[in-house]
Amino acid sequence: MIPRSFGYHDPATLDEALTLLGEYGEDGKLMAGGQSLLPMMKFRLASPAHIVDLCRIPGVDTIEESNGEIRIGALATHRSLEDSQLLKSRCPILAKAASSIGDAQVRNLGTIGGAIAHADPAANYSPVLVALGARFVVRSAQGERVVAAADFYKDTFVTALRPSEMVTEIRVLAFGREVGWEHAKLSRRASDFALVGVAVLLRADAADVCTQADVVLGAVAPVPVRMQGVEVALVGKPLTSAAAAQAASVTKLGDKTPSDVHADAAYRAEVAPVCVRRALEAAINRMTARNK
Amino acid sequence: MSDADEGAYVGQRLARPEDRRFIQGAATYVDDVALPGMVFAAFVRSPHAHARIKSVNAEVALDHPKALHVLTGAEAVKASHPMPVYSYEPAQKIEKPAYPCLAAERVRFVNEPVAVVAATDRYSADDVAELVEVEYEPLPVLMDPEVSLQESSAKLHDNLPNNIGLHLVRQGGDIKAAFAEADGVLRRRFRMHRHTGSPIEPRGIVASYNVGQNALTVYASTQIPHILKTHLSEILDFPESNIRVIAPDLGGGFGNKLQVAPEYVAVCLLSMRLGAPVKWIETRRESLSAFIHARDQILDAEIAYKKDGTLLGISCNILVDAGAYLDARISGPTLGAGLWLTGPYRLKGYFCDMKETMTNKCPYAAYRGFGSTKGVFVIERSVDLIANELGMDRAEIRRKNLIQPEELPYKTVSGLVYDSGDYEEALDRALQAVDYQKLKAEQAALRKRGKYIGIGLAMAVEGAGWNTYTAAMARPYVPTQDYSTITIRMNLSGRVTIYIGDTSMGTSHGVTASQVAADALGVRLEDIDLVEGDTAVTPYDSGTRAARFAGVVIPGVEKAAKSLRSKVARVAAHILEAAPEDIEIRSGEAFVRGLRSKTVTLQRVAQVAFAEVWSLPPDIPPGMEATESFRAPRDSICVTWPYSVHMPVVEVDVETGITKVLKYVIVHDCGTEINPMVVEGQAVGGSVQGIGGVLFEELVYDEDGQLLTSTFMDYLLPTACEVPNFDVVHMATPAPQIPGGYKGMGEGGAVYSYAAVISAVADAIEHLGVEVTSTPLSPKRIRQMMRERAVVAA
Ligand SMILES: Cc1cc2nc3c(=O)[nH]c(=O)nc-3n(C[C@H](O)[C@H](O)[C@H](O)COP(=O)(O)OP(=O)(O)OC[C@H]3O[C@@H](n4cnc5c(N)ncnc54)[C@H](O)[C@@H]3O)c2cc1C
Repeated sequence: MIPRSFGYHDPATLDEALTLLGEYGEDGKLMAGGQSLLPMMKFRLASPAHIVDLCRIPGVDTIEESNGEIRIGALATHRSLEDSQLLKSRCPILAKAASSIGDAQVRNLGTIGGAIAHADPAANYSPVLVALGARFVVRSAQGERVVAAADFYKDTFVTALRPSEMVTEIRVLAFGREVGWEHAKLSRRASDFALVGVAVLLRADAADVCTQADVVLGAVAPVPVRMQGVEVALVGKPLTSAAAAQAASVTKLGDKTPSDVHADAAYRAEVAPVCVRRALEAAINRMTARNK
Repeated sequence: MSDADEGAYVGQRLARPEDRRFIQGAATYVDDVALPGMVFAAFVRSPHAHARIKSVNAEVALDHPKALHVLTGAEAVKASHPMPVYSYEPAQKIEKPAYPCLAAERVRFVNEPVAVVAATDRYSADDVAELVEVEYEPLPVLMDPEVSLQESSAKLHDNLPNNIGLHLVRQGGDIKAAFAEADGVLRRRFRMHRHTGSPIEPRGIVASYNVGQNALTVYASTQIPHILKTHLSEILDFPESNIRVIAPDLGGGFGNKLQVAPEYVAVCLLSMRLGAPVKWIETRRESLSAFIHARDQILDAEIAYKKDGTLLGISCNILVDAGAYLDARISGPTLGAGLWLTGPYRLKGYFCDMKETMTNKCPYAAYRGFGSTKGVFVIERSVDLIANELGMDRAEIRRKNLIQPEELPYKTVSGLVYDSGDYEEALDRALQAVDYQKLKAEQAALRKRGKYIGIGLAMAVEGAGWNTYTAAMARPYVPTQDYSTITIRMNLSGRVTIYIGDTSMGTSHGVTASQVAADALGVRLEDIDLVEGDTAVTPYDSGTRAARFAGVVIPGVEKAAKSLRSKVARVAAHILEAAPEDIEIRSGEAFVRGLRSKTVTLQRVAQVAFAEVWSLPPDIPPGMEATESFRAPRDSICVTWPYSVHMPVVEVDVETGITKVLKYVIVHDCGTEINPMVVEGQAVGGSVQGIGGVLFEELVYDEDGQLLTSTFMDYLLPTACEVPNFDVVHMATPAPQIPGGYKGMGEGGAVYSYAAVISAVADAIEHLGVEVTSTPLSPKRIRQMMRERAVVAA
């Protein structure tokens, strides 16, 4: 609970931050909200020699839409996503995912960029971002690249980021009432990490026959996993609760399903289809509500 | 005394004057204590659950530029006696396994301290501790209390040949006759899992040894300042008169802080070596892994009953997983479980065998509710299961067996002597408050829709204030009868200060003691202050524990306040030239009865008593102070007997095992209520611990003895989101043996609630073919039960 000593830097610009990060390489760590980094340091699981605190850098926390794409600055806090009117109308699944992260204190400080970079397998955003086909803008002193969410998550706490890189922006396509959606976090207490997380996006034709389904689970593997079987089972079917139940029953977890004190792999395997079924039902209800 | 004086403050819902400092962040906890020249301690702790210490090398550590000292177990053992161990049963002889403040030869649980370091700042202290090199030779690890008992198992202590730390047997009534008469016997293994109280303020100490005065001043987070002083004197071989313990504001205790922490001893030793103040505030991880664990018991019970639902007798073997060492208050949580097996029911026979077994886990000790939580769980669950077996309603079977008001005082077969109350009335009021019949109909309707709610029902009589307990704590200094000694002083200004030798741990001592004293003295509430916890200025006391404040301490306050009142009256009478019997005191003024014009302020009275002593007649001593003791009645192990009925409603999502407490009704009776708001706070707070204990909190070890739940990320305390609104219904049957009629009640919430929440979950799912006899009722466990049921059914 007492971190080792470290050097502290609070650059005023993004360029300065990236230069520092480039300089320190493996010895340096960015700090955004500190909500994951500081606990790791306090347990001495991480002991970076240099902290590059992003808190003074302006302009990296905006949420804007242009040409049907929503761009979220990496330093936008969970709270600002949760409260964003733009997200509530144009990408409500992300606002909802933000709203059940930890507790109010965590949401006031924690950032979407930090959550993405930290890559906790049980994090709220990751299945949502994979389902949305999000793209992450990643920058270093050398330049910028764009990485698809599906390619970003590599393993537990491991991402495609290089030590000198920072996530600066998250891009997702906006959607409206034509999409049925749900994010759900099955957790022990309201503020806990997911035992199972589910993101669902459904599209349908005028007759409510499913044309596209994105179903991604979190907390059941080192990285978010797409439930392809469930998606296949839905497409082409009328979206009813019977179809939801039928498709959900196809949910299958891999052999890397984690076990911990709160949920062993058997538990996760057993409740994942339940979570999928309920999320599908909620998404279908939202979609049918659009017609009313 | 005129009528208007009587009970002006007692009975009122008054906000606590002490809230101001807590809410404004202006309280003083141990961590707020900063002394000149203070240095910081950190502990080197064992990574092994069981190992021989081969060597400890502090050379590299001492090279750290901020390092001041490293004290190893070998040195500490030479400089101190082992931790004290006493038994509750005064006659009980126990082989004490030596419990050194720092392990010298062997470590017996993960995070047991093996050395303590001092450095100039807190951060460096941890760095220095990391540099101490300890070589271990791992030994076989014992994690299962039943395996510990096996002959072939490794032995944890040389003087405990069977790994049994303690063995007690109690019996009462005629157990043979009770079982002979039975139509049925319910036999079950009940199990309550390991978890513990989690004061948000962890342990902490600032020990300051003054070389010149050979005096040790200790600021400690503790429930027992005086007992801590006594024990430190014994352990350190240091004159008691030269030790001063100050317990500042306490951020929670829950019984955990009844312990004399080995770490406190080590920090005192450090300070004595360095001649400087040393601070140690434990981390949450230390708190969860090396402080106190509790509850963990296996109870094999047999309950004899008749076809008509009459309960006859209970026989139980209790196995306690006591962890690596016996705590000073050993046997309390065990004996309590055994004693409370009889519930509020008329039984004819009782037998209980209690064993504490040693394992390689954190030591086991008191947690709110003490032992009774487990005993009440067993009897209440058994009554439910018998009701199920007989097709009786759970309320009706209780009604049939409840001890009736006219039978009180009633001695249970286990030896408790309940004092007063109406248990059936409390049951009726609870059923009414939840609207039992309507709720049952609603439950049935919901079940048809695949929604499962359970109506919990549990009741018990709590023992508040323990007589033999006191003996256990400070033998031979304190006799086996609980008592309180209170000093109360009027100051020169006319304001009043009450001195009590314990500490308020959220138990609202400030407001409640002031309410009682204000009424007894005739002063205004706002003119009273409370000083607690400082052994230099407060009378000797056994500490804040066992819900003894209202039933044992408050009568002392009342007695001392009355005694002070008569002193005030004598001086006032002298000033007003009247007879002391004719003096009335009200709202800070003394006057001659019926003659309001002859009035003097208490400020003036105090001035005369303190500063114009020449004007006092020779038979009136100077000053304005009284010290009185209240001796608790001793016909039973406990002093007063509050009781309660708890009825929570819990929804169980059977597909995921997630539970949600929807509603919670409490009916309780703690005699005369001093402040109903405080009573509600205690009842609700304790119940939240029951919700946590049953549904969320669990200390999980792996097979190597590593604790997997050593942070609040994994050890789940219920938060506001997990807790429902509570309806509290008050009854008030005065305690017949206590002046004022007060009964303690601080612990009970954490007793009844366990049985009640377990009962609610059981009621939600037992009709699906499972049976609930153990905790925790976590999602994983509930799903496991559902799965196993499917296998059985198939
Ligand atoms: C009590 C508690 C409960 C929580 N519950 C949940 C929950 O239910 N669901 C959930 O999803 N999360 C939960 N979290 C985690 C929370 O979402 C964190 O905010 C998040 O994981 C990290 O964000 P941060 O801004 O605090 O990052 P930091 O802690 O500052 O950084 C985390 C890591 O990311 C790196 N980093 C930060 N920003 C960037 C960036 N822009 N580019 C590259 N690297 C970067 C850091 O170097 C560090 O390695 C919880 C946290 C706490 C303390």
